[in-house]
Amino acid sequence: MAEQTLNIPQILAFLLIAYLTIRWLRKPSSSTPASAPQYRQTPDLMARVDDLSAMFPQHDRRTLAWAIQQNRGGPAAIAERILAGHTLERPPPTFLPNLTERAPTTTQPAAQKSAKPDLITRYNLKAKVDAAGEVPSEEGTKKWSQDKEERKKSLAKRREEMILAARRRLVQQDQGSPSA
Amino acid sequence: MSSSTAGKRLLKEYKALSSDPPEGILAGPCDEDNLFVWEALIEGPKGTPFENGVFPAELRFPKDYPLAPPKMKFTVDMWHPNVYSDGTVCISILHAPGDDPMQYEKASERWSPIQSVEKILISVMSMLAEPNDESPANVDAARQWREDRKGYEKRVRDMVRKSLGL
Repeated sequence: MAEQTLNIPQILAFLLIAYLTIRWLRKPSSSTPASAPQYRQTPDLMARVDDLSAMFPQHDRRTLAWAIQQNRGGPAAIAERILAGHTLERPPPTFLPNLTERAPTTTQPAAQKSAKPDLITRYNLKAKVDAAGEVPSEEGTKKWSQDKEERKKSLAKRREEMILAARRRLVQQDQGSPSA
Repeated sequence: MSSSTAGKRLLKEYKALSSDPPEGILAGPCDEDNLFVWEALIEGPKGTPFENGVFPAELRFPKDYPLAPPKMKFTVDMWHPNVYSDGTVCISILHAPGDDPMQYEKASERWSPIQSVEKILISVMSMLAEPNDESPANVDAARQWREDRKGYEKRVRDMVRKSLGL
């Protein structure tokens, strides 16, 4: 008799534990998609990001892509929000759209354009290029001077000499073979 | 203390490089008051598209030189597989034995105190002639060098002419 009355709570407890265990076991597989959602990448996402990125280069492309994903209003609404001074929401770390295609090609030409000045301009050799012609100026001394200033001058002299000599060789080469 | 050791060593190297410079190489401190920043000029090796070019670079030495290697950066436009687009040179002799970002360099090729500025510059000169395809610092230049050698050579020659104001 006493055994029977004890059995019912035991069965209830067993059922509860079994239910919770099954729930717990199934949880990881069923909840993974919810915690890391598959961001669908619409084909025109790239194009929209490009448009926005062109207007607002100060904003990260990933942030813009996230804004487009979140905001169904489209790029116009996002542009308006940026113009109104609102900050864009930071994308979660799991949001990794494939945005690599355009970015490098747009930065490459810009990097090439920022060319450094040529050596003649940089070392102020214009006058010497015009004046010297074919006459090689005297050799910079290779001797080690005890005087700091003299060493500095000698180094500068040899540097000029090296650049001018290279330029002369190139000019001579051009005159030698007009096909170049 | 260590910085004065470095200073002495740098002055010694400067003296050696001035009295007996290797062919096509020139190097010395920009200002002797600071021996840790040098300017080096390297002539483009003959028989390569870099021929007739002169390539200035800046060498920055650490305070614990010669234990650690200097950093080298070209201050002219450069188009080469082993030179980053900002001019920074990437070759094994400029890497300390401890740090080997690419995991391929032999210890003997890397920096050690028995190396010198002269050896660095000679290595860089031969690097101009023979790029190392294994560790491209400039991926675009490396691809062009591999796939379109003519285009690469033309681009380098044009760059040389432009750098000399022609």
